[in-house]
Amino acid sequence: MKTIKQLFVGALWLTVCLLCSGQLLAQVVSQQPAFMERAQTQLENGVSVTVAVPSAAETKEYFGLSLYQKNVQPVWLDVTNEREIPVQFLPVGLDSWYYTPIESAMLGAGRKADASRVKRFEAEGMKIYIGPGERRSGFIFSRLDQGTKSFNVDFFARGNEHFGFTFFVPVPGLRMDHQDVDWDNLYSDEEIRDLDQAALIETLQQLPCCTTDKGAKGTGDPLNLVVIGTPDDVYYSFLRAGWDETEVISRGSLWRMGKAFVARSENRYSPVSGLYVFGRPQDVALQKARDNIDERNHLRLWMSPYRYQGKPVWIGQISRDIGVRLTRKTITTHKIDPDVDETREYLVENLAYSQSLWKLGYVSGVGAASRAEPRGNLTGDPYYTDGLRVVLWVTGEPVSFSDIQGLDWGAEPTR
Amino acid sequence: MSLVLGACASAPYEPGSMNSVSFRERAQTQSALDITVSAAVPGPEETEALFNLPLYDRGIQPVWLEVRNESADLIRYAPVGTDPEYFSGQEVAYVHRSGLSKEGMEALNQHFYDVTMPRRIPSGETRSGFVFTHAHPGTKGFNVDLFADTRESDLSFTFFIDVPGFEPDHSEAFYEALYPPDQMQDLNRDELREALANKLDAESSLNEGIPVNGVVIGEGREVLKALIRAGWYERRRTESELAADISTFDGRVADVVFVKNESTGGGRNELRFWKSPFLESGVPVWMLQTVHRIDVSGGVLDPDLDNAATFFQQDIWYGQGLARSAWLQTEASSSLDSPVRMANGAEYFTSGAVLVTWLSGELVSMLEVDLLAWDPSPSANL
Repeated sequence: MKTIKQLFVGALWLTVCLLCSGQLLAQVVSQQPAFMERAQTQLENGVSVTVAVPSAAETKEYFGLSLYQKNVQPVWLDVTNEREIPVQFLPVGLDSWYYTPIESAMLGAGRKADASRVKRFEAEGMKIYIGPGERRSGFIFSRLDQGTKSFNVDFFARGNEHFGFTFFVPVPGLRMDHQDVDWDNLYSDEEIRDLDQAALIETLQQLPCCTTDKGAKGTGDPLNLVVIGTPDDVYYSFLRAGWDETEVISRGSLWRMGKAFVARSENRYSPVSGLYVFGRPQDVALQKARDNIDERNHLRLWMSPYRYQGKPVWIGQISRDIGVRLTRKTITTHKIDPDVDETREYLVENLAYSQSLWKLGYVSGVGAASRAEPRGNLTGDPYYTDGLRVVLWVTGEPVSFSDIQGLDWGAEPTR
Repeated sequence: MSLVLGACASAPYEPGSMNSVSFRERAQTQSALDITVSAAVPGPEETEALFNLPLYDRGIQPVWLEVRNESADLIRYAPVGTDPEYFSGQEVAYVHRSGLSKEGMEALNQHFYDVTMPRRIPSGETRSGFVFTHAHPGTKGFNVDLFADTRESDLSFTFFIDVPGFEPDHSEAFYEALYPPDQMQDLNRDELREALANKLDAESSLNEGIPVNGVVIGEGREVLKALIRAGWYERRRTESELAADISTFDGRVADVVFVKNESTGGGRNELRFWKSPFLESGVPVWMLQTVHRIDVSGGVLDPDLDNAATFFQQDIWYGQGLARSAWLQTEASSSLDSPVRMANGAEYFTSGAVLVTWLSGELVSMLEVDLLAWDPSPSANL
């Protein structure tokens, strides 16, 4: 049965390719799609994962449909399970709202997607079960990323083992927004400082209150986040909690954001402007889209030269956009929720419910600002705060609620 | 545009008083471990009277909470557990600012700051306020998750509150009357597996609609907690939907329907539940039909039922509601090549694998999920 199915699928695939492209069978078989030349491979826990992401043009050529125009971006996966037990791939970890193959065919071709096209998509869909010694490949149809495609590939194996990979795949034709920071050489060995708990708390209390502009002038958004974890931990855990990388602001991105503003549609990748700490713009910029562009959360992180228990310590800020308003400096900017502590606490819960949070505590350092006498950020938005920074240990391993540890570091919000 | 109008406007802001509206008379109260939670949900008109603003028109539904903490711990309320994408108080104020004077806007901001439910409830104290959630039609089902530093007194309360203007599909009495006690079969796990296989095979020839492709085991309240946490909500059906619903189990259309993702443009997932005559060691067993509808031409059935079941399994897994899972192979199988065409012209295909899930209202870590080796998953056969 299995063999017949496989034969059928294989034969169908070739037939469809012939019908779609009109090329000779020999040519189809011998040519590896160009996007696979950009494939990346990672190996962990006896499972090897290769991924590649076709561009808009490559997708159209391969599938015969302009899927990008429908917000559908195929991700090709090739998984080899060298273990003696089966593993299950979890597409929800790659994109919680992924499209099914048939849905992708119908979105691309309209309701009249013919049977052969639907079959082609179904046959090309990635299968989630990979038996011992098996190799499986296929596509997951994800929501379109307007830049480097950053995603997790999660697996689960019997014996309660969960493991995942994080990939950053540049896609031709889209802006390269993922900053390939050379984390190991960001600071010299002399600059790196390992701190014990007391020194960490004192250092965190004394870091600058706020971001600045490029000339290290002005006081911008409050630096109300501290994250502890490796770059892999940070990316994996925030992606799992539904955060996306963002574009750095450019003329093109402003145009797209303007269109999204007019259409009130969701633009997951609206750009953020650069803010400065340690004399440089953010190392990591992430955002979480909500119902429309007015409702977005975004955060920025900078890796500090400090290490705690061997893990890098990051400083950052988070704000909740509650609307777009016009400004003289940047044409449009987001109106931020003035209750920045509320947004900070949202992040704590967002990470905890995504099983990404291991420990948390609070330190001072931002400086309190009352509702009656709020401070302003660089674009003049007022905000008020209890002046605390939340310290979040993030991890790539899932952490259950009951294992989250709250630490008493002498400060605790009251609201 | 509204900024320009706002600059010219001069209206003050005057909210209604909490006591002018009687919605709290419908408040429900639950308590455990020295913590008491009351919750009430004002309807659209009551909300407008309370805030002097039409919050429902913008899809915002306020939920009023009061938490009395008689435990020894400081406890933390997590609004994300009530609605993963709740609105902040200042956000609700900001979107309703137009037409107000500068003083009016300040009064608006202050009011929403004051009435927002705070997160922290110190030992021996009581806090109350509103959390601003997404409005969905139907009975309002939500969780109130409370966390303590000692972690031993973490609590999750689930509320189902009727909102004026909405009626749930069925009452508890309906479920109790479905099967007389002598028809209920209380089985152990092996017996259940066999009984389910027989029942599903027998039902497949009687059901003219989309088949049952799942089974859920759990107390109703636990199942609902898990669903709400994963972002599913109950959707009441119209008369025409009920008339058109040809999917049946034990001769009746589904008892309750849940949906997800309806507003995101990425299609919609639906869950149909039927109470079954089975219990597993005293715990209710529910029949489930999970389907995915594609967002073209007003909604087209995605014919791949295995895919819908697989999505549900992962969705509830990532939502920390899945305790145990298995696949059960039934006889009725079809394929992409030879799908089943129903009377309404829609087609589906399934490998015949039925997803069996044990759901938990308490949070279950992804690592604690117990995968039973019953039959192969549908993907394993391809």
